[in-house]
Amino acid sequence: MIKLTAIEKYYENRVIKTFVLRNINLEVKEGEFVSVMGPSGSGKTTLLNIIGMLDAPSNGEYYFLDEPVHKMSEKRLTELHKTYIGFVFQSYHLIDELTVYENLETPLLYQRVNSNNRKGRVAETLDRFGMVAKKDLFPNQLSGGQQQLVAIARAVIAEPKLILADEPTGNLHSEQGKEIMDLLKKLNEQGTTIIQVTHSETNAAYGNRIIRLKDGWIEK
Amino acid sequence: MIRNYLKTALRNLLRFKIYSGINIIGLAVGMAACMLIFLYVQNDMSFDKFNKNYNRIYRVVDIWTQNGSVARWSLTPTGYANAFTNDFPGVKAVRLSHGNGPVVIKYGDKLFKTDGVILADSTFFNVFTFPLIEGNPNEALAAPFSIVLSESEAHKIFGTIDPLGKTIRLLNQFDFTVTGVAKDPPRNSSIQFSFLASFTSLPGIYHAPASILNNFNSNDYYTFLLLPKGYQVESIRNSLPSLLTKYKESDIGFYEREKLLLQPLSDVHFSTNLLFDFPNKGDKQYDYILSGIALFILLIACVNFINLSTARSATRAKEIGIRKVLGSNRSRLVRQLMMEFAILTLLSAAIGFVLIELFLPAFNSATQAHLSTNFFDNPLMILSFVAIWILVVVIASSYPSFYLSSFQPVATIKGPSGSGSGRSVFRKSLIVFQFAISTFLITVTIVMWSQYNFLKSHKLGFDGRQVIYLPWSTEIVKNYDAFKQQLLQRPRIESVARTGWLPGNPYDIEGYTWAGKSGGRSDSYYTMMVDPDLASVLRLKFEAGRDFSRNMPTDWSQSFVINEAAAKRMGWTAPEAIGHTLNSSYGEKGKIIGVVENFNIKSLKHEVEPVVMSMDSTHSQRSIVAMRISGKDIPATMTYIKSQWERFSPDFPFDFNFLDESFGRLYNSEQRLSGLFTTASLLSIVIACLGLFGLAAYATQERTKEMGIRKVLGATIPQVINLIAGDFLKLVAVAALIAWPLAYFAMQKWLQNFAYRLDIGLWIFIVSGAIALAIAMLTVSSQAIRAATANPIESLRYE
Ligand SMILES: Nc1ncnc2c1ncn2[C@@H]1O[C@H](COP(=O)(O)OP(=O)(O)O)[C@@H](O)[C@H]1O
Ligand SMILES: [Mg+2]
Repeated sequence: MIKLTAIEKYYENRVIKTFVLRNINLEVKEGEFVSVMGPSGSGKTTLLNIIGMLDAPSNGEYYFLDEPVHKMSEKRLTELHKTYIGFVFQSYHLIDELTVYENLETPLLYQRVNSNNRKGRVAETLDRFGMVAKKDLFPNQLSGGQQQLVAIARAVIAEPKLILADEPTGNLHSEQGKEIMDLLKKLNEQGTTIIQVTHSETNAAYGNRIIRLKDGWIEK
Repeated sequence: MIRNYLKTALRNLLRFKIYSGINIIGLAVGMAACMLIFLYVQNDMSFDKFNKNYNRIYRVVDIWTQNGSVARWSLTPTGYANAFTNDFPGVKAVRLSHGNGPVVIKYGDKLFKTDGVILADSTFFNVFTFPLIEGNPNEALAAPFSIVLSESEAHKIFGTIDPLGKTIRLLNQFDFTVTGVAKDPPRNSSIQFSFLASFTSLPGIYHAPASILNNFNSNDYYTFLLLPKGYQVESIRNSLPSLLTKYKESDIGFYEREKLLLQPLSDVHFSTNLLFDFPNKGDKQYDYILSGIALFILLIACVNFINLSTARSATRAKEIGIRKVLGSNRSRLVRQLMMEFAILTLLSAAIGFVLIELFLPAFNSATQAHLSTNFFDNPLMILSFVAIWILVVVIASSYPSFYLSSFQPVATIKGPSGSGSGRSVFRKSLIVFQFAISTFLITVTIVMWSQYNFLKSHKLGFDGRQVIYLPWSTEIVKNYDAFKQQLLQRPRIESVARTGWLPGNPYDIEGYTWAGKSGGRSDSYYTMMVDPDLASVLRLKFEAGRDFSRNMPTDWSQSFVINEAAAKRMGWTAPEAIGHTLNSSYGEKGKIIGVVENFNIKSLKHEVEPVVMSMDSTHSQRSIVAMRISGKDIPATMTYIKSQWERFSPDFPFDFNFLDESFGRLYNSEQRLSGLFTTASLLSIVIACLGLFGLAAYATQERTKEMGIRKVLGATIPQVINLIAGDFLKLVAVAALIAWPLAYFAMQKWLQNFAYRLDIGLWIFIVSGAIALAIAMLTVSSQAIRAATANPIESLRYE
């Protein structure tokens, strides 16, 4: 599903090139559950963003479902990540001006899901995440943990083939964290490919493969 | 404390350069526009008020009725002057002729063409305030054949020689002695002159008995009255009916003198619908409308101020919160903010002044006004500028001041709560207000231009293209036939005719009766002395009957050709009119031999007027020569005409006009008005868009994170742009919906001024709305596009 060959990412200023990712070769098959680990600043988020097509690599090739992402038009990129990829961020990135319900609804709107279908799916997701009572609240009326729950729910609702989660449980207490991990596991068992970044060995163990990054290199 | 305020004010100004810039420049443009329009209006309103006694000077207006139709004359018979001074002791009267068209003046062997000579009573300089540089104001216009020159004419003719006592020859006939030099009349004077000849010259000029100075049989001269100080004008007004009856026996009875009116001098510039009135009219209604527009433009600029300041309030809130915690109370904060605004607006005012200086020449040429920026001669202007400034400070700062200072300290220090961009209902309504005005003005402008073009392209019933006419010259009149023969030698001169006047030019009116006419008295018709070639020069079409013919002896004095409107007014169809006999009040009698299709002799503000044409049997008429030429090689034709003119009339400078052009000049005021409105609507949309730009920039900045998230969630770029632009464009659309009906009704009303008017088509609204929307869209999208195409990671990374 995902094939990265010799991916590099660096930031340049007038004086120096700072490498964030170096010679990344990585293949992820459909249905895998991959955990990315590594110290802070090692490039985990950058790698995830590149896979998620939010960021372009400086060098290297990236094939997604055998299509060359590095050669794709902006339009096709939007199309691909809209239909195949769901994101969960380290910080929740909910839209402050929208209610929980509306936040969940947003990706479906962009995918032109019709109104009845949309209502059904939002209701179902609210139910599944136990947030029915909170559907009319705004993000700043929720605790951090609850906000992350909404963010995950929002990533899941569009039924993506690939979920990219950047420390999804970082701000949740262990009970909720476990719930989320179980949920991700279940999604994975139903066929969703998942790549998560995590600091926790326990959470990493939910995946069937661990990739360790250090200073931008994949540790062998 | 003040220093502290000043510092924060200045830093805020520099820190938010875009907002400060938009605020200052928008307001500067608004203030400049406002001042320019006020200058224009003030100039218009100031007409004739330079006369020291203007509030004691009145013009006599003579109103006639004929079978129910009313003729309002600004000209009166000569007799009223004495009537008033005899019956109302202390009242001074002055009679003026209207400029009788170009006159040639000869001094030594040099020829000068002038716009006209005005005859005036010796009281002229006592009644009006036109200072004499040389000469005695009480006597300069007393003796027959005295003449007073304007300063610039004196300079032109005499150069450095002292003109006093010199003799100049008018019309190659009359010798006048220069008895004075007057300062040029100010621009805002209805009475414009370059030569003033003594009224007592009248009998000499017309070879008429002295009774011409004191009779009641034709309305040819303006009569102005100066009332003594403290005199009640009402007492004269009340005795006008008896004055009318007293002098009635002396009128010749082809019309009915209905009543006399006294029109204050300050109203003269604004009067409409008076026959033979002064040119250069103002319109109070337009002055009020323009003032209103000036205020609206200023308000649009103030709205920018309010919107941008409140939008920025989130960033400003923290400072205000801290100040509150530190113990500032609300009124102090309001004062601080007001001071900031005062500084900003003062900057705007300064830039505004510069803008006025820069744009005044362009404004003057667009509006054909002659405004000067010499503010220091114009205390009223300085005063109103200060008033405008205070108004702006109060309007623009009051809302933001109170809005900002009512923040709760704890909440504001923690961070802004409300969102700043185009969200609040208040701000939304202000944007709607701005764009409603802009769309209104755009619509109005389009309607005005369309109407102007409609008037210019409307069929007039005659064809004025390639028709050239020459001024009157006694020598040409004497040798007309030879002159005409010479002209017709050239195949490119198609036809040549002689006529008393032409459409669009000063006209004559005369009374006519006919057998079977009800009411007995005569009706007045526009009357034209023509020759058999005029119909072909003007391409008039015959509806019934025939044209004059040189071969029919009766045509010379016993035939009339009328237009359809005249036939209709007489109660006949065109064919019915043929054969009827008309009697003119001057004793002409003849049969109607032809009826031509209607043609307009006045601007299309007026309906077609009834015209009666007869042939000039005496050849003594003042007449102008008109000819139709071929469109090919006009310069060569002109050179030829000029050479013939100089051969036949060496003492009169050559001059010519194209008839279509001189007719087009009747719409100067419409053109001027359209120009003003174009400027106003451009300014209003520019200022409104400046504000929109600021708000869009702010909204974009504020919602960058949201836009990033939405992109990550799969929003396309247009969708993201729409997030920002959509909100604003909806407001602009609402504004258009409000503006359209208002503009429609306003323009329907305006169009009532014209006898011929265009239908306000749907396209006008579509175009005006599209213009407003397109400009707004460009403004807003430029901001939104930048944000929407940015990589979302940039905005989300460090959250
Ligand atoms: N726009 C940027 N310019 C320069 N350096 C950057 C930029 N974005 C990220 N980095 C650097 O890249 C490195 C990797 O960042 P990141 O992928 O966020 O690491 P992680 O998620 O593993 O903590 C960090 O050292 C960070 O400072
Ligand atoms: Mg990270």
